[in-house]
Parts: sequence; C-alpha cells; structure tokens
Amino acid sequence: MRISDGNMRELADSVRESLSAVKRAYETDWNDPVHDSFYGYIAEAEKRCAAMTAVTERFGQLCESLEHIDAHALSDECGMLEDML
Amino acid sequence: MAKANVDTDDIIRLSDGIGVQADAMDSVTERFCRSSDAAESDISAELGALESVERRVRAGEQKARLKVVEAQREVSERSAVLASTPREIEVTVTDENGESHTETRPNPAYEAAEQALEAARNRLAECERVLDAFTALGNRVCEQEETLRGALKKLGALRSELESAGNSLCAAAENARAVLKKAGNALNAYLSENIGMDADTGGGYVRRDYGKPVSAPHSVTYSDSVYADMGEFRDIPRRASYDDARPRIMDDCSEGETEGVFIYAGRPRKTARTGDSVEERAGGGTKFEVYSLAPVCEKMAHGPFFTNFRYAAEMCTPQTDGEGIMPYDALLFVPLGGIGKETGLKNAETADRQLSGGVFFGRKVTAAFPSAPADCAGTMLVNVPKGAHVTVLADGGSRIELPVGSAFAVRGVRAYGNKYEIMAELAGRVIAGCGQPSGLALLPEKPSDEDADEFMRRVDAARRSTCDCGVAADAGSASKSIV
Repeated sequence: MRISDGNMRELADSVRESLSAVKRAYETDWNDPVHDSFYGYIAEAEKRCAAMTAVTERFGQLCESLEHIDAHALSDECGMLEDML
Repeated sequence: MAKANVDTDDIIRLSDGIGVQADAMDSVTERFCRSSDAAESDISAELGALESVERRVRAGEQKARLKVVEAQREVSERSAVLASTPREIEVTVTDENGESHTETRPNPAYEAAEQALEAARNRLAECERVLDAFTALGNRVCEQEETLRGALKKLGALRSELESAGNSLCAAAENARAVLKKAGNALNAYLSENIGMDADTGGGYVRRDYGKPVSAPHSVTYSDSVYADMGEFRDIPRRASYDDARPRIMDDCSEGETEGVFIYAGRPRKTARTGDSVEERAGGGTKFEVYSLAPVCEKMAHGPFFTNFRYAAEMCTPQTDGEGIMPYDALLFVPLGGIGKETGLKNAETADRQLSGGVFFGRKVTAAFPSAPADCAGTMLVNVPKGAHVTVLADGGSRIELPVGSAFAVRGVRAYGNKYEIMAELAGRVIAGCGQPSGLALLPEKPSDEDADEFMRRVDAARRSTCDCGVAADAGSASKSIV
C-alpha cells in the first residue's frame, strides 16, 4: 500500500529554517548576556524541532514499511487458490 | 561584554520571527495530523481489505481441508477397491480344435482400480498443496494485518508525540512572545512616561545611522538583561530604592556607541552627528557644534524596571558669539541619572532641581543630579576654564572647588536613596565623594582661545579615558576629596 506522507520532511525542514532565522536574528541583534534567557526558548524550539523531525522520519519509515502490503494481490492469490479447489 | 542595541523594532521583528516559527510548527503539526488521518484511513481500509481476504482464505482453507478429507476418503476407498480386486483373472479359452482351457490374464478391473487409486492420490496431493497454500496465505494475511494494526498504534503514538512537541513549542513561543511584548510595552511606557515622547511616533528619535526619522525609538538601547529581569521587577514601584535596583544593574560599559539622541535638559530634542551645528535655547540660548560622540554607558535604575537605557552623548565645542568670545562654557554630560518629566532647564540656579542629563550651557551651569533614586555611571567631562570654579554642592552645603582649568571625568555615580556617591577622575587623580550633592556648579568665565584649546585638549584626554563603571572596585583607592 502507498501512504502519502504529506511532504512531512519538507514541512519539518521549513520549521527548522524558520527557527534558524529566529536564532540568527537573535544572535545578530541580541548579542548580550541575556542570551541565556531567550536561549531557553531557542533550545526548547530546537529540541521540539528535533522531536518533530524524528517523528516525521519515523512516520516516513512507517509508511515505507507498509509498502509491501497489498490486499489486492493477496485477494488475487486467494482467488487462484479458490479456483483450484 | 558586548552589548547590542535592541529596540522596539528588534522586539517586534524577533517576536514576528518567533511567530513565524511557531506558525510553521503549527503547520507541520496540522499537516502531520492531516497526513496521519489519511494514513490511518488508508491503513484501516487496507486492513479491512486484508480481513476480507483472510475470511476468504479461511473459507478456502476450510474447503481445501474438506477436499483433502474427501480425497483421503476416496483414496481409502480406491485402495480398498484395489485391494479387493484380483490383479489377475483366469479366463477359459477355447482353442481352434474346440478344446477349452483356462488361462491367467491381468485383471482389467484391477488396472482400472489402480488408476482410480492413483487419480485419487493425485487429487489428495493437489488438495493438500492447495490447503497448504491457503494456510500459508492465511498466515501472510494475518502477519500483514498485524503489521497494519501495529502501524495504527505507532501512528497514534507518533501523532501524540508530534502534537506534544508542537504544543510545547507553541507554549514556549507564546511565553517568549509575551515577554517580548512586555519588554516592548515597558520600553514604550518608559519613553512615553519618563521622556515624554510619544512612543508610537517616536518623535525626535532617529535611527542609529542618524537623520532618518523613524516611527520607533531606535536610539534607546534596550538591554536584554532588562528584558530578562523585567519579569522579576515588574512589581517594583517606579520609585524603587537603589538597593532594590542594584542587584539588577549591570556593571557594563560599552564603547563606541555613536548613535543616539541629543539629550538636552533631560529631553531628547535633537539628533546630531559629528560636525553638525545645533542651535538650542537654554537659559538664553546657545550654539554649538557637535564635536564628537562619546562612548557612553550609563546605568539607571528607573521606572518600573531597571535598565541601562543608554544615550549616546554629544560632545560639543564652545562656539564664539562672533566676537571671539565664547559666551558659554561647554561640557559633555552623559546622562547620569534619571530622566524625568521635570525638564526644561530655565537657568543655572534652578538647575539643581532638574534631572540630570543633557548638555548644559551657561555662564553658570549646573548639572544636577536627579532627586529620584538612580544609579548611574558615565563619563562627564567638564570644562573648567582658568579662573573658574567648579563647586560641588555636597551634603550639608559643603563645597569643594575643583582646580581651575581642570576637566574631570565622573567615573561613577551611585544613588542611595537621596544620597549619592560620586567618583570622578581629576587630572589623573581619583576623587570620590558621597553625600547629597545638589549639583555640580560651573562658574565659568569667558574663556580665551587658549582656554578653548586647553579645554579641547583636556576633553580629548578625558574622552580617551572613557568611562569606567567599576565604581565599587575603585572605591578602595579613592581619596575622598569631595565630601
């Protein structure tokens, strides 16, 4: 069976890119000691992005793992056996 | 410690960035959920189809099993028939002479039974193969059904995991945006309440590159530390004591900041850059040129939060009045204290009631410290022409006169309630004082060109020394010349 993954990887990449943009802006413009404070958010975002990426990867793997399943083929095979009875 | 300028635009932009990022995360979550729904639907449909196949397989398997039994029975019957059928039979044959005799010949019935048994055995084998095939197919179907059921469970877990990640980040993003918004609000509140500026229009403020009025108050430097501390200090009254503020005041000094507003009498009036000519009216008006922009970093405990709003200071050169006379002394004044609403330096005598900050001019110039609790440190360069007296009005009215022709740099001023600790560097000597000065009074005379040159030389020297905010660290070596 084929399951569309809805371009999940592309979406996850877009999240990572937007996070990078925020991070870059922050590092560029907020270059002072309170990085740590805002970095709490950045770190959390990175962590969540990583989790999201992992989920999408596993989702993709899951989809791939189901590709060999084909109920129609099995049905045809069953029909052939039935004809043999 | 590097310090960057952060203004409302930065806050907005960063907040927007967070918003974009959070939205993207939301989008991923949403699309994942949609995709997950579709996958779940696909899997369920496939599972349904497999279950249908399984039912057929089981039926076929059962049918095959019956066929096998039937075939086995047939084999058994055929075997019995064969067993009961003589292989040979005796046949009476009459020869040509008319004589009869008996001959043994193969029994055709036996052969037929033998063939029938073979056929039954073949059918049995075929039925058994089909049965085995059904069984194997049923097992495969069952395995795939299990795979799909497992996929459904995994999908649910992945979905929960993703939603959890997305929701957590969205919550974090909301928090971050809330803090940023609070920072922006506080910044605007400060600007509107304490400087009297319209925070929305930001009139009078310019960007760091000067001369380009913008809608936001770009020239105010906003510290991240303040942003970080605001949550903790938001409940502190506007007129909090220094001790309240002190833990959050940063000891930092940044050089090279050349942007900012021209602070005049506590209010941002103009912007200027090196070489600009500025005409202002203060106690009779004055003209000056902006000599340079000094590195500056002052500290202020102000408002509902404590920050180190930073204003670049303009150094101004004395101008002549057309007769070769400098009517006004000049001094560089980095805002040392709170900048409040009580602005408008009317004259020198009342100046000590004004809040500090700004470039003050006048034959008798007073740079006053704020009466409000404040913490400040910065560079203050004062020209004291020959014959002039610089008087520090200290607690109890005591005074100290600075040597004529001196320029000194205030190394730090700290406020403790209504008392101040002043440290300054005068001709390479650290002077320090504490008390309750009502102001620094300059009593200049008309300086000559030589005085002006000397002034500039001293200003340059003092400016090179820049500010040093390590007041406390220097205190031990300071002599109390000002008391």
